[in-house]
Amino acid sequence: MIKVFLGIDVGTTKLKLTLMNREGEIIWKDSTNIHPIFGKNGEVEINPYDWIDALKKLSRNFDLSNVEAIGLSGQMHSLILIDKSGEPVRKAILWSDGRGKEIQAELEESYGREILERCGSFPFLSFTLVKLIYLLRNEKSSVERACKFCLSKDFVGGWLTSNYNTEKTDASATLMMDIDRCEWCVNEILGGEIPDRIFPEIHDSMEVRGYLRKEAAEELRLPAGIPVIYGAGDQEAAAYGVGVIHPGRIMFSLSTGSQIFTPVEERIVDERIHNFRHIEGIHIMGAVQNCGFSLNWAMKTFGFRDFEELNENAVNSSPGSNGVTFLPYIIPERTPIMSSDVSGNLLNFKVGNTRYDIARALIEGTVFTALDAWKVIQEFSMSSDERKHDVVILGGVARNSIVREILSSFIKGRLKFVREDFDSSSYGAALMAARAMGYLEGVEPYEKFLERTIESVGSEEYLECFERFINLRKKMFGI
Amino acid sequence: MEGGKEPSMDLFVGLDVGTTGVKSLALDRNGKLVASCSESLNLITLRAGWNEQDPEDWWDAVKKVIGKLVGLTKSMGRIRAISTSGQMHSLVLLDENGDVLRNAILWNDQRTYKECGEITEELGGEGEVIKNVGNPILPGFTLPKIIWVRKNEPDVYRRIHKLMLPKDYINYKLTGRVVTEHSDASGTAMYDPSRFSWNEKVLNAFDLPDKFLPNLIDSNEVVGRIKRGVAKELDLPDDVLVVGGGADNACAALGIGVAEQGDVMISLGTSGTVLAPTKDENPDPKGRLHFFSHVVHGTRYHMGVMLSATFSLDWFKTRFLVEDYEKINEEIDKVPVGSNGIIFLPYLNGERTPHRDPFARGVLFGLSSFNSKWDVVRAIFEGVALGIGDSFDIIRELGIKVKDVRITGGGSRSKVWTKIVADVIGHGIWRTETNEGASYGAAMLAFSGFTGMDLREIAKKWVNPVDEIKHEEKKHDEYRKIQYKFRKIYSDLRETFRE
Repeated sequence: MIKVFLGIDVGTTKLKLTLMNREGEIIWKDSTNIHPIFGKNGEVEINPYDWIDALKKLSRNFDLSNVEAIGLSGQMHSLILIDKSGEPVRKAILWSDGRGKEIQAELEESYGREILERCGSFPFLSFTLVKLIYLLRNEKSSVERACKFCLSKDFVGGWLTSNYNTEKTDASATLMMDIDRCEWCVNEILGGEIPDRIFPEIHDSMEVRGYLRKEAAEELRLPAGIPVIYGAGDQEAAAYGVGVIHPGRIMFSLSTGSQIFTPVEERIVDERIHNFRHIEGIHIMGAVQNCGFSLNWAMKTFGFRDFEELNENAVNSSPGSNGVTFLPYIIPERTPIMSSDVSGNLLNFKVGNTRYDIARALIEGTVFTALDAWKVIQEFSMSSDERKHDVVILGGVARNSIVREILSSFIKGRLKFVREDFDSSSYGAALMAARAMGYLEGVEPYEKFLERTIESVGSEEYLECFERFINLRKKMFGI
Repeated sequence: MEGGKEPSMDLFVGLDVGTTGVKSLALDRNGKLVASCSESLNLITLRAGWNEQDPEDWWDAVKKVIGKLVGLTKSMGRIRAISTSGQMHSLVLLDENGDVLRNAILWNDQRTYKECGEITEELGGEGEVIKNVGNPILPGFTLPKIIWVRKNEPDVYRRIHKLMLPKDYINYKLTGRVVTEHSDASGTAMYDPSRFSWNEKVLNAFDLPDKFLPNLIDSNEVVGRIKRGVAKELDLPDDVLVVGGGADNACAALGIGVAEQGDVMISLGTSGTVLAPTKDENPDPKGRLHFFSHVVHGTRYHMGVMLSATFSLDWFKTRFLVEDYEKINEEIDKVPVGSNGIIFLPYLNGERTPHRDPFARGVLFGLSSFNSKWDVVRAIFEGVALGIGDSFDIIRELGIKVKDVRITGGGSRSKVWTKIVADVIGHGIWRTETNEGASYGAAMLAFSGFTGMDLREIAKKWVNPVDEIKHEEKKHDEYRKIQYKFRKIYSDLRETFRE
């Protein structure tokens, strides 16, 4: 029987599976929707067992009896509190939860620099730390009942193996870990506000977390006792999946949000970017909140049926959208402006502007926002200007022809567009499992899933529009 | 002769010579509409921004509408007097034989940009200009057009015998007499509204002979009896009186009873205006509002103009909405004041009042992930109302105590929109029973000229405010804060509009 590896990605809106063979080919993949619960005060929560149910549901769709090992990846930052038996004491608070703005502000003001220097990032609402402090102050009993916190993929991993501990990548994205020493350090900074007992152990991502419990194996129709690898945060797993493991390569994903990810030799202390642990070493990341999420909102608000219709309209306009600019900041933004005091703006339209111009402005504004973060990461990436970048581009937004045109005008180098149906995070998780078992060393299996590669020398075409975009943003928000 | 039961009523005709067409109506002695009809007009666009019309086309259209009115009313009554409202500022030139020298250069023609600067400089700067003619010099005004003709068409200039405005040309064709009246004269930039007379200083500065200018009469003064030949041609009685008439904005205001200080007209049309008659002798020193003579004797008015009023909604609707106006009104009425944080700057065509900024652009500010499409659409309604509010505030700032606000124009059909405007300005707004625009005001002038009755009295008798849309103080307070942001966004972006 051909042995295969299972990658599980615990996403925000979907749980995804990829089944990979020893050659790195995809045997099967599937996904099912997850439905977070949105509250009036910005709450975004979910019952962690919804993930387990989703996993059970998907496991019925394929014969999984020949799985050799399991790898995990999951949304970063989301907080789950569990008791001794691994039962959640309350719902998971997801990364996108909007509560704790005042805590973010307080952390920024009092400890911002120190946290940045030790933990690798400047405080932001999404981080687990903010959520934990929020609960300590507003719902203390939950923290008291908990014996440990864990992250999304660790909860699933814990259910599979009874080991709910975490590993370096996800731990670094809590903003509580010393990024160099890979030890919890937050209490040294904050003076012991968080009970020491609730910190999980931090392991290597490629280590075996444990072996599949018999009960779990039965429910999922998987072989009992197979190894489960710790895994990584979804970004690190995705990067791993597309070969962005060592300095010199960049992963640029443009989907709901946009992330620009590159491994570095040494971490960089800069408020605009995140330093997280990678599977090996450290990577930096720019995170953009207003990408496909905003584009989708704007598209619907302005009455475009879907992305296809939006694009059909937009191609009839011209670069620069005949003077119209869209600032897509409909939710707080991270890299590089790091501000929640922003809003979406459609600017400078006049009588002669058409539906085409507006459609194009929506797309251009979305890409420019991502490119704004790109520019920051690019500064610190290994490639100097003379050396071209090797960029793997992912995500639904990057499917758009105008987006591609702008990216290849901006980015000098080799742009590798990954096929849309390729799920990099669950693939990366499966690849971690395969490599942990000693397979696929020294090969780059992801290359099978490239849709096209563009060798770009860059052009000036969109430079002026981009500068106008930045100027207008500065006018509107002062940043 | 009260009532309409006589076999032969007295009828009074109001004409409105606009840019896109000529409208006409006939009223009885009680101001009741008896008949109406219209004819469309063509615009001659020589190149972008150069807009002209042939005065003969106006006259042809006028003859057609009068012919139709006669046909419609013959069995009912007898036309007693005609008066005309007209597009302001447009320049008509006659030679000494009384023939038209060239096409009329229209109010919306932009070719005189350069001349405006030269005139302003020659007169000693904008402050002096405003003091002298009540307004800054704008490309639409008549004087820069004359200077342009002098520079670019010297042969035409040499043969000028009289200059006049569109409705004066109609009066001339009807009666053979060349006169103008104060409301139209005040839009030429050669007239001093503070003194109700042509401005000698301006005429001297540009060496313009007095003989170019028609004599000034009152708007409700009789120009003369209709020419026998014209009466015959149009099948009119030969004792029909032709009455002075007036500028379209002034006639529109009179037509809804906005006649004296304390009254305000808000016109929510393609463009928007806020017109406030006043006893003031002097204009806004900052020139933010126009200052013209009203058609009511001895009265002037301040007027703010916003360039894209209902146009803003139409612009958005044709691009992004499939719903009809009824549905749109229903939906935006459900959205709270402030459109959940969105603010719209309605400067799709640049803006006149209060910014005088041709470079200004449209903006949708404050979009958030939780906003719906209807929040955006309501923001457009509110943005237009805030633009009206800007003019309204200046009128108040000039010390005018507002007593009675009336609304007209296509947007006034929307109760929701009118309510938003009322909340923004913090004052109730009346909708009137008849809302026929400038031609109704012109017919009032015809009636006044024929009977000698005071215009204010006619307005009180004829115009019925029927539907008061009251404002809510609480909402007004909210809009105050929004208005502050609205202004700040413009000032933040002002420079970028020029890039």
